[in-house]
Amino acid sequence: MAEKYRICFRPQNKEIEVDAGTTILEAERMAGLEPDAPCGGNGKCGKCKVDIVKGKKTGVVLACQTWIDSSMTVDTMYQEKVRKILSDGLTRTVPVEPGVFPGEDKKPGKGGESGQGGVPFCLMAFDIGTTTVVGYLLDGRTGRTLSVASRMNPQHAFGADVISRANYVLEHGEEGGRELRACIVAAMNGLIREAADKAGVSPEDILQTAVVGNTCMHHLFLGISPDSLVHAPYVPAVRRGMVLTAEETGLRFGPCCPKEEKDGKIRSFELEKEISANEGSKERFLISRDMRRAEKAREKQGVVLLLPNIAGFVGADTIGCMVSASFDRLEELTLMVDIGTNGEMVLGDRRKMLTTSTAAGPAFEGAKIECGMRGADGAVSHLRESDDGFSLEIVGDAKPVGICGSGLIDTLAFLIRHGFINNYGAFRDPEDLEDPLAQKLKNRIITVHGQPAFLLVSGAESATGDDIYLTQKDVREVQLAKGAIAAGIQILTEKLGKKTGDIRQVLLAGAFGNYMDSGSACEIGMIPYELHDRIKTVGNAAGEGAKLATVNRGEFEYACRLSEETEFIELASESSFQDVFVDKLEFERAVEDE
Amino acid sequence: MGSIEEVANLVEHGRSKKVPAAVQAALDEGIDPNDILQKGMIDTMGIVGEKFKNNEIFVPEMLVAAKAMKAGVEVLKPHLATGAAGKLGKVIIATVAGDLHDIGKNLVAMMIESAGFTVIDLGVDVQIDKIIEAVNENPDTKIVALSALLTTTMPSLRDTVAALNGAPFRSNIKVMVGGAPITQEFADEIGADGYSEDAASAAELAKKLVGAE
Repeated sequence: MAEKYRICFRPQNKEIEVDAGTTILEAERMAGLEPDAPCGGNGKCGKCKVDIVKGKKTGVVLACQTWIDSSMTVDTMYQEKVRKILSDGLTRTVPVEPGVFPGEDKKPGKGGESGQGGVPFCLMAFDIGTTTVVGYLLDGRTGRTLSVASRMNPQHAFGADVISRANYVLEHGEEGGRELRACIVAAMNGLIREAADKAGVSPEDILQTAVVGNTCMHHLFLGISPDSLVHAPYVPAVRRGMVLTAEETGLRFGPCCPKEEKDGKIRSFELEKEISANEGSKERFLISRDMRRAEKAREKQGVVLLLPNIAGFVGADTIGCMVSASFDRLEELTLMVDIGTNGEMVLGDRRKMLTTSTAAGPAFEGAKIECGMRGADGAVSHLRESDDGFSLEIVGDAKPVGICGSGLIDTLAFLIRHGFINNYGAFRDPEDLEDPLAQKLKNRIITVHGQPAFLLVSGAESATGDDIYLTQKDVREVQLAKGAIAAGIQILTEKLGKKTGDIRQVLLAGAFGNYMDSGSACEIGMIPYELHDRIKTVGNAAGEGAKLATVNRGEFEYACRLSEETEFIELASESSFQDVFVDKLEFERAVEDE
Repeated sequence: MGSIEEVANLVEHGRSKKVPAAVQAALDEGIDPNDILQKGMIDTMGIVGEKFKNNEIFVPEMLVAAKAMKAGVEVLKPHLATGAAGKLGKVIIATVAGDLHDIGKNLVAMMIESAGFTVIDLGVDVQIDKIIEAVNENPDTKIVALSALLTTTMPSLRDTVAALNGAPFRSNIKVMVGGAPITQEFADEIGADGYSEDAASAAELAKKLVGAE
């Protein structure tokens, strides 16, 4: 019979008796703890380190490689203290200091009077996109993501883009605002339940959530009128970050959260009054009266952090991206672009940061493109060159139905590369094609509505029986979209007194940036070609920023600082914009025609 | 060798970089600057507008053609006798208050100008009183052209037209409106004299409103 030893884990104060020869990692699991051992206990990752404070041997050891041979007291928070791993996000790890416990900042990791170390709790982060809403549920002690839930933004029923939703509110007044608010709040509450279920926790365990979204989504979520966003000079009603209670926002989480919706209604709170009462205050963020009361009473209210906005069309989502990249600490001149209906971009480094938003229109979402569609099943998402032409990648391995934005960019890049299209964007005469591959494919130049088009998939192979092609007009739509983005980049670069070549790295944020081929984006000139080997995709950087803010209160304050330090450039008031835009319509890498 | 045909061809295809040299070559050739303007550029923009209406070309080509013409006019300006351009009268153009969009408005301005009007462009986000003031300062104004690009600024267009309709000079001017969300019905409803769907038909509408066509 093996000898038994008593192991006491701190700070959880869990005791367990184990056989000699058990590893500390196994003992932790037997005690019901959830130690982190991504390598599976092979002694490779070093993430299970613990500190033996009492025992035959003391000191920091790998829990998975240390076999128990005496009774001991083990501090499991060692790992959190040194590395405190966070989200598996793009770049950064921060200490876990969500700011939900009084005095926690003084004793990081150990918790304050409420005992952060002992009681498990969760945190959440939301990214409210115009199209999709994503909720991340995080472990409150480690900051690790426990589950992710997402759904379509149900405000879609009121319009696909921010302008039409804003317009709905303006036309329907307060009632319209309430409708849109109720609709997004209900979706987020659904996501809270879903994420909690997936992770096996309850919404009551969630103590805080941070929220990002574009300025319009931000305002609609809080029930603030979007009026100022859609009228020049397009400024947000609230720019500052905000600290609110869950109840104020209508979200249901936190220890005191109401179990069921009372008649399905959310409490209306008069945020606009609150904001105007705080007008002129120098605080970086606004703490609502409810939150102050809650803090005073030490009530366990769920906390909602709203990251700040910058401008009417540069919102908290852009701030989220900047937080995740630590934009103001970058040594090298960096361009970050999030491509959607509006292309938001930030250019700068630790010395100076400029941002703008440019109206790319919906072409990259497949709208206004004759055979265009969203990136759903059946969408041609990529075109790859092969010896005898090209092959297509179709979403869901289905039969092709249409072309989505990434497929559009690839196709156009292919047409430019092989001389099908000239620098002005016009299809060239099939008889003039010199490129060997182009000559081979010249039968694919067909005539649609009396104009040339490039046949991608013939009706025989498509799901609908109709041809899938790219028309001359489609090329024109892409020119407008890419021209707007390229012009935005150009003007920000000029404003900084720099040249395109000075940009050392390009970070592509957002779903589309992640999905599209960045090489193709450079070939069509959406991003300057000379930067093609300096591009990194950073995924959902906005969501990562929200995660960082909910896990560490200092990061939230950092977000608020970034909003103040970033200068917004309104392209519409730049006199050179139109000229630059028209210049950028051209495909610089295409064959030049006389 | 310079020729009007060469200028016309370059303007139509938006070759901004080459147009100035071609205009200079035509001038050196001794061709009448007014002919270069009329036949090489104004008529060409008419063709561009026509092709646009027939869906043969699209906005990007209009934009590059307009830019090419502008580049040509710069070279031509010192040689032009006054009166050749702008013989149809003055047009005041603006994007209404609350709206910062100007690419469409600029295109309309360019087309109207090349149709033979003098255009006073008040810019974007223009308050009602500024427009009234501009008409008062230019009593020979024939047309006020207003643009609104967002559905959210349509009310602002309505207010602006209402203010013009109440102004004492109203009978001396025509009001035309346009912009992506605007329709003929809306134009009628707010009491404008005319609506056009795009830059090319805006130029024709302007001519019609002053009885030049």
